[in-house]
Amino acid sequence: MQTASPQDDRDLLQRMWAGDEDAFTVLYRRHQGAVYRFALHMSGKTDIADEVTQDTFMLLMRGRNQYDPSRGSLSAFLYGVARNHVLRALERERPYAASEDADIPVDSGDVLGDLTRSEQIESVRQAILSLPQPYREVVVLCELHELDYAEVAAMLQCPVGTVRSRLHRGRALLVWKLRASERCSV
Amino acid sequence: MNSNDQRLDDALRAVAGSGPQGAPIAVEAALRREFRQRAHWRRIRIGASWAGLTAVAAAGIIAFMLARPAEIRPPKALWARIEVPQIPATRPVARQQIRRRRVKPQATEVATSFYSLPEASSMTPLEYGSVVRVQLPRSAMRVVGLPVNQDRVLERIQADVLLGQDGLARAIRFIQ
Repeated sequence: MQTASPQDDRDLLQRMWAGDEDAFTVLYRRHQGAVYRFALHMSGKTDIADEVTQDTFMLLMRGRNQYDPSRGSLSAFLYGVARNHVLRALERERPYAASEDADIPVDSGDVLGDLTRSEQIESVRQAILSLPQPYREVVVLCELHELDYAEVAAMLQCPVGTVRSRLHRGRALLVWKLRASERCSV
Repeated sequence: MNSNDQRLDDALRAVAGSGPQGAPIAVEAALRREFRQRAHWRRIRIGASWAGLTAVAAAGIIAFMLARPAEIRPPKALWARIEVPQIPATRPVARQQIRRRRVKPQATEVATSFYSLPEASSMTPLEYGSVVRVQLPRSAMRVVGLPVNQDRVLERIQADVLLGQDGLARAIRFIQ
């Protein structure tokens, strides 16, 4: 999300709740990119990302009782709302059936070396999408959105240690999946 | 960090930087349309709320006015500001003259004790007040529970009304 001081966001929120459309537009343009990309990285579907973005900001405009600034930043709140919507949408569709307890073989060899850039991006994207949801969301938030562990832990309401371990396991799963996909393509 | 980790980091960065970076413009347009509609309805709701509050307040005032006994309302003319009489310049007078001129109190005036008016208990406590003499129909005596002769109910009677610091009547006594 674009860098914005919490005070800026708070002022804009007050103006938005008072009916100022310009304030809403500024807030939307400031935060929509992160919400949209998060939904897209989590679901792999633009229609879900559209829907999640719309629902997230609808909730924000609905009123003051939806967001309490004393409990965290607006961006964390929006990520949290978007996450709930994404999980609901994925629950509805269940497009990927991934095993959470997949065995992770020991790393060996240069598994990503031979992929061309576009293939590599697509392979990694598919690999992320096929990760079990708890690993996928920490990979998306920590690696793709570059949020720090504490922010992600607060968002997921789990200890920082859990975020670290999920990220470690998620990355290992990614390497393993990418190597497997490379084997299949050979 | 081994080479796979490094390459994975590079690949993740590439994924983060690829693909659409934001929602289509149609999403923003839909949200802004929704915002305008909500703002419109919100303005209508606020207007309706104020109208409702005003109506309730007006109804409350009317109910209060109707609930007050009409008899204790002194005639408008008697609420007029009492002019302070012009005191002529004093001349030194002898002590004897003063004694001679002292007016005897009117023995004929008999007053009841002060009776608290029904709504006085709900008013702010009396800090200071003033007494205003008024003329009322005898039926006003019923307000404080005094008996009234039916034949004389339309006669007028003098009364002292105790007004509080806010100008509202707190108590009354009747003069015979």
